[in-house]
Amino acid sequence: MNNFKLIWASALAAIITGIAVAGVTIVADLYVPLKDMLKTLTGHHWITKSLGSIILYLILWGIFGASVGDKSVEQGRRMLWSLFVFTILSALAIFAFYIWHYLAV
Amino acid sequence: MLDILLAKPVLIGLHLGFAILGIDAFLWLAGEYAAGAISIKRRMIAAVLGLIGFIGSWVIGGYYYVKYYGPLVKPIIKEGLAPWAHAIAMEAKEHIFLLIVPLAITVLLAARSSDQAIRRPAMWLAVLIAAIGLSLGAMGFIISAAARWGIAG
Repeated sequence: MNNFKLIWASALAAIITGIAVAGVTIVADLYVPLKDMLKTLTGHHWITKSLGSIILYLILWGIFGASVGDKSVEQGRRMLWSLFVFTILSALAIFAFYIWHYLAV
Repeated sequence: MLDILLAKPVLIGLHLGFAILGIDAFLWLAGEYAAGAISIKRRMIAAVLGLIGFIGSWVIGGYYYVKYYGPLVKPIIKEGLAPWAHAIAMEAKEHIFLLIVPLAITVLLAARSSDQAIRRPAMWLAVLIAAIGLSLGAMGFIISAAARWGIAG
């Protein structure tokens, strides 16, 4: 596997993991049965999210790394910039949600 | 010995110490890129140290959060002068932290590359990791202060 493919696959896996963390976090705080289910799996919702996020990232990285052809440096560069943007958006979504949630409840 | 390591103030100190290691290491990595340095070995040392720092901070902070924060600290903050410190700062901190490790692994992989096209996004991702780490540190300070106000109030 070439290095740019490794970088590309890891960056894409990190993007999807970040979106999933933000999505699950927000939905679980709005829909209590989901939060209860997360808690049931490991005893604490945050432990489930923690283990789930790293497992999801590693599985996606493996899938993307194994299922696509070699990537060019340009494709690797573009995916790194995408990761930069999506990480900021995921973090802002979480932060903005909790501000809204506090003010609304 | 284990009693000392698992004591609440020591756990907080280790959580913070590992986070500082992570933040400083990724700032070092960003500096390597900004200076145009060509040493892959130095970039890798910085990225590996940074990853170790954030994983250590994650595991130790997570243990403290689940074992002590929820049952002991959270009720004090919620009854204190700044309940938003838990509702906003802690909730955001514990979830935004989950973005860091996949990000740090990706930057570590990028640090292996000498290609000029990779350097700029890798540098800004290292800066982003450090910036997120510092933001979470500020939230941690607010949370600790809110717990003290809670007790005082």
